[in-house]
Amino acid sequence: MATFGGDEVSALVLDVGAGWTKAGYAGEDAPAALFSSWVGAVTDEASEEASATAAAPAAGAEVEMKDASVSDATAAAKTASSNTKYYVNDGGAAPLWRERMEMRAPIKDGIIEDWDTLEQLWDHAFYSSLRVNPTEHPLLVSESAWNTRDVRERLAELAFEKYRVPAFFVCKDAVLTAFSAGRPTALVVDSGAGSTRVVPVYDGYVLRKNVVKQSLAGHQLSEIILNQMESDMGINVVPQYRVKSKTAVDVEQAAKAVLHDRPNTTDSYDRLAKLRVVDEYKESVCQVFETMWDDASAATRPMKAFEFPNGYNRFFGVERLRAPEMLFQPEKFLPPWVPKRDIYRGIPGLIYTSVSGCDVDLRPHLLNNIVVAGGNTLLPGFVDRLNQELSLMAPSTKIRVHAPASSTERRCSSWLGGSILASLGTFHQMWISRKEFEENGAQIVDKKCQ
Amino acid sequence: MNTEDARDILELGGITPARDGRRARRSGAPREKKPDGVNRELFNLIGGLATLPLTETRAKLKERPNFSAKHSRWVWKGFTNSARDDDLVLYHWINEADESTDRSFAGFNNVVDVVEYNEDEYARLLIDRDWSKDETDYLFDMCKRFDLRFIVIADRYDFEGKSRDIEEIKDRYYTVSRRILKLRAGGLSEGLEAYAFDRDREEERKRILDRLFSRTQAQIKEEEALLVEMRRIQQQQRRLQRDHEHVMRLLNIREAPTMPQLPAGSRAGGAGGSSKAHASSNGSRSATATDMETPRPSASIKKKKPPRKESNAAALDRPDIKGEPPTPGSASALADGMPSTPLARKDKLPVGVCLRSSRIQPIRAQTTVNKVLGCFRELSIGPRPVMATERVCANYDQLQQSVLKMLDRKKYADRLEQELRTLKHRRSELSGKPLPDGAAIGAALSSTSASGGGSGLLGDAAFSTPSHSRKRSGGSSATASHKRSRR
Repeated sequence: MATFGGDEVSALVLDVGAGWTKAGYAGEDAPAALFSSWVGAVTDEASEEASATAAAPAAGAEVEMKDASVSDATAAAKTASSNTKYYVNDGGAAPLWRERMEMRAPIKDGIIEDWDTLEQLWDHAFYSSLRVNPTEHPLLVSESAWNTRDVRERLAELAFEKYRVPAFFVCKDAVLTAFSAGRPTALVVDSGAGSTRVVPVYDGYVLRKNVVKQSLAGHQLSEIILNQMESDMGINVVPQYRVKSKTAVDVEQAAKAVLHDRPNTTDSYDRLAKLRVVDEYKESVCQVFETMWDDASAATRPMKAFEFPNGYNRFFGVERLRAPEMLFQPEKFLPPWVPKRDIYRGIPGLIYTSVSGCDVDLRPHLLNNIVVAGGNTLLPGFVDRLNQELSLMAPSTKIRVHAPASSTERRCSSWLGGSILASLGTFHQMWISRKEFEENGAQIVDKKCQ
Repeated sequence: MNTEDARDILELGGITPARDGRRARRSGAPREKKPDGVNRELFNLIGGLATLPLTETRAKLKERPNFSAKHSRWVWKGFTNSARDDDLVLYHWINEADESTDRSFAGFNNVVDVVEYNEDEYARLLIDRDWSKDETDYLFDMCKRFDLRFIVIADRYDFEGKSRDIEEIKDRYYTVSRRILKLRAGGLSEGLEAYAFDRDREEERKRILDRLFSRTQAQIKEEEALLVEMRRIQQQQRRLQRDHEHVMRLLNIREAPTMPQLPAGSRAGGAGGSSKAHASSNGSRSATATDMETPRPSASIKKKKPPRKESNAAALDRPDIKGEPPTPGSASALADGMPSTPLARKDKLPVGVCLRSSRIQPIRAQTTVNKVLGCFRELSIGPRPVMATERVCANYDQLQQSVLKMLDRKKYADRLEQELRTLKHRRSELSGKPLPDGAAIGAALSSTSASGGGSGLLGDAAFSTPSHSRKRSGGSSATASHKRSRR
């Protein structure tokens, strides 16, 4: 056992991201539960149908929506204080449609803001997905590199007081990502749903002063593409939940689909559902231009077809290359109507800013250990492009980019690092125990989790 | 000789009892049959020995698990970690037989030794205008917390809203530690080297590293090109040096070569700082030059050809035409009046009857032969001596040697000249002032390299036959005048 330094104490690892929540047992190589961080909340004005089963309002929808999961209904919970019912989706990307359901995500710009939603996600992870009793398992939680002290203290309170875990630890997601790649010192380039951040990690410590982040990441990219589709390309993006049935049509012909009547749909749900369509478009069609952008050779790339949920389909040519180019050259490719478009910078630029802020002795190590993570980096050609731009940007140093090939590892890298860390024998002494928490209060988190 | 003999010699003891075995075999024991395609000798050596065991490649089924063996029980058991100061009980699955109470992982809990000081020590030694006591305390607390990872300390440093850079932090930490340790050790400074910190130097080092880091692609390319150029120049100089030495040897001059010597350091060094290398090369060049002026042979020559100087006879024995000719002082053979016939040079006497003219030393390289013959043609001498008397043969041989030397020197002179022209051209290019015959140079260069052995060879180089130069006293003056006249 001791050969690899592992000593399992059946810890749980929970990584709540902007787009996805990852939960599972430490020591495993993939999270046992992976579900959307978007939680549906239905607030009733009067406490009508208090006794109604959770499945009832969605009964009609369940038939057509293939990605609906059985546990969706069981996840429904009702807080005692307000008349809000929460629905957490298990498995599928888009939560089921419900009347008057607002979509909420707990994390905004890396900081937990909506604690009710977060609790729903934790509840769902423990009781519905993993089906464990949290009082029996130490809990490791990830946080963003720029998390505030208040937030982490509140996290500890939540864990110890509500879930009564025996031991708790909170660790920076960038550190965990570096660990998942087996590196104590690394430059973590993490572009997920909510934000793109470049975090230097030295010996397992985040160098806070040199964290560079921006909100231009998967979610915002989808928003921009959606706007472009609707305004510039004139495509009517009909999300999946509105489509009852569709018939095949020829390329660029008007869609022939029978639509559902979905009364009282909230804007947030509709928007999110449309963004899911764009996500699918991004994942199946978009591509990063592998070398420095060149209009002429980009035009020669083959076109790719994409079919929207209502059956409308067309080919996408340069558009599918131009969209991800916003990540690399925002100053040139971001549409002019994007608010505050001047603050965004290309990913290589972010990396360079972060590295040149670090100690000069550390720079070669960082550039030699660049770890790429986050679902946004799964766009084909992303790593090649990054490699090329960086070698032009810092020609005097050897650049090595470590990017796991499997998409699970890339998307769940911080969970994976947590899984490794929490199963180490040497980690036993790091846990914050219940006793320590009770003696020192919540500020123990700041002392022990650096 | 077969295996048994070999084993017998090595006293290894036979595969079969040695003598008996042979007899037994003779007496009709079935002899191993030699397989086709194996040498008899080889078979004798390997035959009879156990051949390499063949590995069995029969497919095997997976081994059945041993159900009857007693299995060990694993239990879900609580444990504490001695590295923790609370008694947190964590649970894990563990072999029931494993009785160890403490986990070995506690041993990894290393804590860095950070020097501690008290009020009194601080007041006496550590007062600093820039650092208050509180801030120093804060710093040492950080050092302990982050195990002296100064990069992290500098990143997290926040003393009442003030941040410091890593050099300041290191400087303070090392100064305090040094003073305290010195005090404790009673003024002895042993073991304090680990706490030496030179802030200015560190800052300078980082500045230089930063410059190195922020080089642009063009700068790096230029640097590489310069390095290649430097290597090329060094190589060329080395080649010139070699040629020079060679000619010096031919001329039998043992005095200072006037060629600038390459210093040993720059010869080996490739990527060192170029400006430094230049400085040192200038310095040591003058040193080597003065070295060379002493009349003894240069060190490099001595090292390269030690046997040459042992005896002239040995040198004479060598059929190598480039061999060192006898010096008047030490050549005992010549002084004794021995005729230096080709015959005398040979070690072995020819077997049977042969013509004397056939004993004339042949020239090895075909190109040289052609050149020598060309010279002879100009002198209207045939390729073979007409009347091969002993004297004629000797003279013929001597003439041939002289022509060879002349050719060598001419080659060398050509190269020098070419080098000179290239350098002149380069100089004019660098100064931006075109040479008067700048355009012609390229053509001239190519023509000299193309026409290896022209027809007007002898006429061109006739002024300095070997016999002439040998009479001259100083080699350097000879080459100097040679150059001058060439110009």
